[in-house]
Amino acid sequence: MTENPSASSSSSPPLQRVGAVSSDDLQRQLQRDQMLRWLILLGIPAASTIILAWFKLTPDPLGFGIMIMAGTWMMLNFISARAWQQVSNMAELFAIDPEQAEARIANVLKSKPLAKQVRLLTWHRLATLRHQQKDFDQTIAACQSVLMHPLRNVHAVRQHLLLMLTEAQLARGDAYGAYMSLSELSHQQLSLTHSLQKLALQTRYLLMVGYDEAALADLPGKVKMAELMPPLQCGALHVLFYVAASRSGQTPQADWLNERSRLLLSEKQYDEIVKSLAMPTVTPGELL
Amino acid sequence: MNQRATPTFKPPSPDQVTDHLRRCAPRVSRAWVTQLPLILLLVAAGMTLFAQNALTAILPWLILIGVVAYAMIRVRHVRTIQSRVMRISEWTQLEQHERATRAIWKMLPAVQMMPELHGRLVALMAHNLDRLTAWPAAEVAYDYLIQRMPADHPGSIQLQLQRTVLQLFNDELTSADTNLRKLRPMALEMGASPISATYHYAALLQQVSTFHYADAVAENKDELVDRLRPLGVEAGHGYALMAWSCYQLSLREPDSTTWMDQAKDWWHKATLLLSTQKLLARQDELKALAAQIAYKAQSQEEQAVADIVEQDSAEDLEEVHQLLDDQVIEEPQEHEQPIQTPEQSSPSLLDLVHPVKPPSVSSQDDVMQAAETSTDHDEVVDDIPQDGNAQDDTQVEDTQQDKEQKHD
Repeated sequence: MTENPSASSSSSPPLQRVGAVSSDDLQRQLQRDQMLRWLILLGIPAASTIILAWFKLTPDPLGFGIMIMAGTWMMLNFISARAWQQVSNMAELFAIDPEQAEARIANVLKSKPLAKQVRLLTWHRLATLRHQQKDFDQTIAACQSVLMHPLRNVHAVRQHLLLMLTEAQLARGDAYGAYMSLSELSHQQLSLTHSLQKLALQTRYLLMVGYDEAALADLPGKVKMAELMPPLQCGALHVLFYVAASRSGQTPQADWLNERSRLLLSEKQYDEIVKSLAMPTVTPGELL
Repeated sequence: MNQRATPTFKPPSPDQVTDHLRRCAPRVSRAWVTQLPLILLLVAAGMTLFAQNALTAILPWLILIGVVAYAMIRVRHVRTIQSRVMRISEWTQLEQHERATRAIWKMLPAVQMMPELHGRLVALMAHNLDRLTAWPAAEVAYDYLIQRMPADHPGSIQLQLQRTVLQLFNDELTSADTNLRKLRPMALEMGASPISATYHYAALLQQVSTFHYADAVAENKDELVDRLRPLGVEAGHGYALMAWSCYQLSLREPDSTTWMDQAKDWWHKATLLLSTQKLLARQDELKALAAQIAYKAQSQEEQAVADIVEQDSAEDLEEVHQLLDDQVIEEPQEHEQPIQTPEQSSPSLLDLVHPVKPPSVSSQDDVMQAAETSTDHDEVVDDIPQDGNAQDDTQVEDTQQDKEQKHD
């Protein structure tokens, strides 16, 4: 991973940036963290115990050494917690100032040693940022890197990574990759929000591979689900259904969906979504 | 107050909400309590230095184990509460308002030490009570939140607008007017956002509530769709208000069909996004408009039938009789078994306006094919969520069906 500073303005110091990443970078960072943590966790208590025993400063140097080990462990966790504080609530910052958000992520990624979970969650934030910046190649790289490692007690993060990965793969025209991600998602218990996002991605995938009939299966139920989404996403999903219905010759449904999407979306939004649907289409046979 | 409730559930009254919120007010733990684990750890470290006997040697370890166990239990407890709040939020989204309100009521005491979750739960409570049409109680919850937020915060503006809408429903017109005037500049600054859309909806509701129908139509005629778009399907309530305004203007000018046509157009938009049931649940008075539009539609259908009959053409007459009759397909004589007529109802009378040529049947295969075609057609029509109210058992639709049956 390369980190290159860039000047955001002449008066303020240049903001740090995170360069292109790969799974090797994450692997290297995790190994370095682990090595440092063990070194500190064992080295400091051992040194303290030897010094205390040598100078006979306490009747129980071993007990004191173990206590120092506990303190060291807490100190290491404190460093990780401080790092995590910086990147935990970044949703607003992503929207307002992505450069500042990237600088903060770069800063946290430089910290060492970090707990494995904190390192992985920081990479998740990086993937989210790249996804928002529509840098789909880097999104795929970051998501796949994190998904290679188990994320304990944070199933929601794993699901979010899979959703971002699927969308990036669809944007890149990788139908096989999107299928694999979607099938992994379908084995998980999703929250309502994630289920809605999965529905949108699945519909897009089905349109991409030409399974229009499958996209329209249980249409009333899917429309009800779409109504739970924010207006823009709801309108976009209506456009997807409209395309599927018109391609499969279901004119009344297509008309109804089109009329609804015109109410939910402005002319500009409608055109943009239709334009974005001009995606590379693969035939179902190619997937096999 | 128009409160919707099942026999086992009754939304709380405003006083009950006030009392419950007072009892479950958020609390901040004292500084020494939050620092206690750290203090205990320091004490344990000190004891290790001066350990003289077995008790002072073991005690630090017991303290350490206790602190770690407490931290783990605390983390698990917080996670459980967070997941419960998320589930309540999902129930609210899925319109399970009674279930969500019950859960919030029970959950509030548990989140007193978590101000963020407490605020979120009160906001959810206000929303659910609003949807249960317990408007005065919802107003209390909104007030509670608004008093605890900076007045110019976007979240606060949104809540103030929602409270204003409730005030309009509760006929507190003076308070609503004052609030709308105060919020207007802030809301309009936001551009095309849910906040500005809520403002426009509230302003339209105010005009309708104060019988300024002409103003409502004049101000919103060309821009209402764009203005309410950020509300998503909820914009249907605004279109229904616009339809109501046009309908009221049509009553003033009974000779002109322009207003009624506009009313129909807006009502179509409203029912395209929301079911008639949902529209009427929020505003009872719209029933008159719904009934009028349904009645007009049927009158037009009847008129269309009459026009065709008046043409006195044998072909047309046959067509009309065939379509009005349930036995659309003639029974061929050579069949061993009687042909089952399709269970689905005969083609809608609306089809007469665009004449449908009934299939001429000559053989059993053709008959079966025709029956299948007819069934498929009906199934397709059934599947189409025409205006989102196909499944609504509203009185209006029942009346229309009764009329159709009588007509048949």
